[in-house]
Amino acid sequence: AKQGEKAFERVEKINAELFTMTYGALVTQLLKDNKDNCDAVNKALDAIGYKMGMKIVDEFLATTAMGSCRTFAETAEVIAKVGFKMFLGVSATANVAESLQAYSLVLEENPLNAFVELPDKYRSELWFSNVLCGVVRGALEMVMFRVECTFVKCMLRGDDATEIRVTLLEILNENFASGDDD
Amino acid sequence: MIYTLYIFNRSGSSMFFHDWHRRKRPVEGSKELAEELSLMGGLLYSLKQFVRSVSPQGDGDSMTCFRTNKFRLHHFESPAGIRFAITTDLLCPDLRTELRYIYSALFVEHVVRDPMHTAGSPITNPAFREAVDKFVQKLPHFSTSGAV
Repeated sequence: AKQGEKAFERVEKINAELFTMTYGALVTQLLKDNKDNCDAVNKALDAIGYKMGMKIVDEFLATTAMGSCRTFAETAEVIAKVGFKMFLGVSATANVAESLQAYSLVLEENPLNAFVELPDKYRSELWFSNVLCGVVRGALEMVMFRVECTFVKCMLRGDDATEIRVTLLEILNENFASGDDD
Repeated sequence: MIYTLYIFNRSGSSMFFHDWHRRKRPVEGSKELAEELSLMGGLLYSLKQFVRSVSPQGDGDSMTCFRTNKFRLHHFESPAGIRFAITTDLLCPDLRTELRYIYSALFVEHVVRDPMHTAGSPITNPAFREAVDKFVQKLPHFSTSGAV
């Protein structure tokens, strides 16, 4: 947790309201573009997040100067306490499943949700903060863990917390891409 | 004396290359250079596998440096698999901290944050080359061939 604080201090910050408003505008625009098809919007947010995650991971590793996580379960704590703190300013709680192949990240407070009220027609289908799933998925893939990442609870739907479920699919191998093998 | 800086992505393809005091220098875009880069990429990749399999302490080991009769290679790998290697003369002390700096300050700033850059592709941003060049030229061992 201390490392999270430190990392948070080290990164550049932007105004929280500006951030949430921008994100809100993005989601609204996506809803318009996709003619209120929540499924498509969820996917689009995930895809945006995925690309962010692939980049964010280097910034994260460079700022925190952390070594590699040896096990998948170890990543849970690091994402919850350091990653979320560094990029969102809040830390999450990680509950690792007994199998060690999955965990959930619980956020008591989600800055993306601030000022947001979901209209009834979106309530059961839209995962407003789905971008976070993409980020986690992208970032973990860069450190060789291919995961599935989905929302299970969202405060905007009336749940008591925000919960993201991360499930390990496979541990990737480094593959050598040789251009010209004779 | 510092000779060459190489950066490879995690599948061993070259992302960046810059050289300084080399007497024998491959021409930009030549076949020799392409070959050198793919050999170096392959070498670092295989060395990593090799170190892993023979390391007496089990996992968590990584290659940091090797030397030949003429040069020394310093190596740093980020946890996301980007490899940085720099070759110097034999008297140059360990440059891992410097490689780390290139990663955490220059690479993140000019490559990761560059919206036009996709992860793992060759680095085209001239600002990165400029920053690296400036940083390396300022190192105390850049052009001296003796202990400082």
